[in-house]
Amino acid sequence: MSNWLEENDLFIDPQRCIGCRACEAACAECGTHRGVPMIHLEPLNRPDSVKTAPTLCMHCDDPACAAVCPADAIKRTDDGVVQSSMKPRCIGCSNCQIACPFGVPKVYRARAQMNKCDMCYDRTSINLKPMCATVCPSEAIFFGPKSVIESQRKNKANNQFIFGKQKITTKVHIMMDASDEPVELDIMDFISTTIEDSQPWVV
Amino acid sequence: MQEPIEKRLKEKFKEIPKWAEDFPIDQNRDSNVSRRDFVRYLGLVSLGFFAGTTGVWLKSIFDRKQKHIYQSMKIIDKEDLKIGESYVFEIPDIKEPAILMRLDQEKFIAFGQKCTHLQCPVIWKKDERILFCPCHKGAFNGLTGDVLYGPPERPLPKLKIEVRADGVYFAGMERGELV
Repeated sequence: MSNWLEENDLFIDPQRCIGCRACEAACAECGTHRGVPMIHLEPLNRPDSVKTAPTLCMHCDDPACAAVCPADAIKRTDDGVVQSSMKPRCIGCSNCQIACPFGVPKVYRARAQMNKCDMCYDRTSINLKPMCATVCPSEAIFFGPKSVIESQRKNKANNQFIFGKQKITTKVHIMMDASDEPVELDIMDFISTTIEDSQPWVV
Repeated sequence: MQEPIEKRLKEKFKEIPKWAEDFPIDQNRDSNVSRRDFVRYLGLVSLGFFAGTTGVWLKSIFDRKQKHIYQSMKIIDKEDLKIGESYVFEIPDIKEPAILMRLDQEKFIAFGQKCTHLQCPVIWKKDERILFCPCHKGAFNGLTGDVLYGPPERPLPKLKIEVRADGVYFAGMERGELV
């Protein structure tokens, strides 16, 4: 294994995302998942805003998707990249889709298999950057050493998230406003504010 | 890179449980049996079976061509076996059981005792004059050794018997082979 993946990390800065979908197009170009992008561009609050955030696999140190997989189909490599499901093993049960706190895995019903971002392992294992990071025009997705991005930007890279009692450390970093403390996330907070603020069904 | 998973499992179960070792999350500890390896294994195993059975077949052809030469031996005194009774004895150099019947004053007849179906010992039924195998209810003609009914398909091997003045003697095979 090369130390390319140990020297470099992937950083996501949702504030910089301009919603151009270049990352989706680039991801779909990849030969290992022909035509289907493994990166999702999530609209944050569609009724009120055009704001989007790129969602790709966070590559947890202790991946929940692999822990719940009944078919033993999701594996993590030595350099910490959680792979997409293995075709001969995956049974398409969507346990991983339910377990992932970041909402990354997606089961494709037509082929009865889960596919997700594997940080372009075909490229990163031979010292190339992931597709999305090479095309992102605003560097909302950045691949490089942590020291470089911290010297270039004001905000801090964070890779620890707290969901209830569980603290999750990931390989992929998210750029936060001037704080590298672990981020506490409660999904209900986001849902309730979204519903109260927008109420798109009320005329 | 394996520490976080092992730490979580140790906190929860005190030691890493067997299922976690059997189904590891880390790729390098996983046992990946590819389809090609599995087919190769199947091919080798079936080739081994084929070679083994071919060897047994060749050995049986070789053995069939070799005639065993039996030593003549005394089985029993004439007076010790009553008419209509049977006597089980062993042929010493090959350690095979055989059964001797006395039909009348001078007529003795002997067969190998192993049933030709699954080698259970046959027993002499005096009234019906058959050699009966109780395992699967097979029966042989007590005078010729031919199959009367039941699962066996080959007759019992017949022994050559010589009645001399001092006793009944075994003198080789009349039909079939014991080994």
